[in-house]
Amino acid sequence: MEYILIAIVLAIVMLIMAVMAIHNKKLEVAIIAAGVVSLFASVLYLLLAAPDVAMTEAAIGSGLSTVIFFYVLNKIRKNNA
Amino acid sequence: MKYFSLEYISIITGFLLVVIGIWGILTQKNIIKMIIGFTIFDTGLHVIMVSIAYVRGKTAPILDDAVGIKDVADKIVDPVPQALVLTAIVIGLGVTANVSLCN
Amino acid sequence: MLKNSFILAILIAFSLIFVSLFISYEGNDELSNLGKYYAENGVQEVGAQNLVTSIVVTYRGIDTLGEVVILFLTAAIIGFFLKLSKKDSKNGKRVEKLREASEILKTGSQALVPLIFMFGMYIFINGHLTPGGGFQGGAVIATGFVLMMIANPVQKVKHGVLAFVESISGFSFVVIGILGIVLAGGFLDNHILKLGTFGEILSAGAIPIIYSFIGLKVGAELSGIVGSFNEIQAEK
Repeated sequence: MEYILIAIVLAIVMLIMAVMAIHNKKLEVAIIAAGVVSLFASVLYLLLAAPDVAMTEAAIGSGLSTVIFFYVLNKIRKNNA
Repeated sequence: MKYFSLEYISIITGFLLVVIGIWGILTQKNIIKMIIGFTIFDTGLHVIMVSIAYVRGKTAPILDDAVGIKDVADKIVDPVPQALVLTAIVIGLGVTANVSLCN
Repeated sequence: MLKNSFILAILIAFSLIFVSLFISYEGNDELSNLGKYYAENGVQEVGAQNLVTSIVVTYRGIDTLGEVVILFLTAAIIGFFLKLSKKDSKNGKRVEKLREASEILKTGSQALVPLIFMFGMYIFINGHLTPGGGFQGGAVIATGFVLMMIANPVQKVKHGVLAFVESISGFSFVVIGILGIVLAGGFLDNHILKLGTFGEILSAGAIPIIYSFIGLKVGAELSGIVGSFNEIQAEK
């Protein structure tokens, strides 16, 4: 029962962050929001009894992808300036 | 209440994430926003696949002391979609890195 | 206006597909037949505690080989782009000086990076007993590399060392797979070593060795990708 409440909270936060990632004008906010979607998805995988997938998503989806997006953003800003 | 359970909640979340991702891919003009839409689409599909693998009230497919090695099939969730999602996440990072290099 | 209605039509079509899929979804009360086979025979045939590991490494080893090839292609393409942009930057453009990191970040990263590397190695050596494995351990090692690079952004990445580790471990992975054809039942069969006692660290045949090579290879590749991105964004 507690799992269901945690899952509902996770789902609401993920959906709000996903809409924010698409709709916000600032690119930094969008990248961080996409990282938060991945992080909360990894907690949801843990509730769904998939610890292997949760570890992969936490390290790759919310760690390395965010860093790569920030590097690309930096490069684009420099090219346009 | 049938829909008020873990697998239904997560599968609805996955569907909504996929729809939000498609919306982002179709409406945004900035290329980084489009790639972010792709990653959200990816995450939604992975959530759907893992929640289809879920079996009610069962535990993770690791046969440690708590599970034992007898009657394993009655105690664990399906390991095959989890292995496929594991592969898909790593390939998703490679595709994202390559696509975001193209500008 | 026409474009907006077109987008709305596509979204509604996708939602209709999902609603029809969702209505037919009933939830599971027991395993599928394939999952039941792996659950019942995995202990005798492979001998790994973690069933996901035994599927990824042994039952579907060729999938893993293809995945490793895709990662290798990604790293190669990004390295090629890096070389092209370096050739551009020789005539006239200069590398911009990056901002130094703070003292706290430098000192903290010196203490944390060895621990993160050790944790990544622990994850991929214990991949057949606990949750984790080569891909997770490699990703953790790459996050340690990211911390190192953020703390000291001007240092040159030694791409030669990374390429050496990557090619040696990829070659050993394929050689172990071919040894499986020669000595045991097929490509990437883990029976080339004895299965050992169930639940110990030296058990499950060749799975710890294969997963260690995969972990080293994935860690080196992801570190190389992030290092190349760091150099690309530093150029002007």
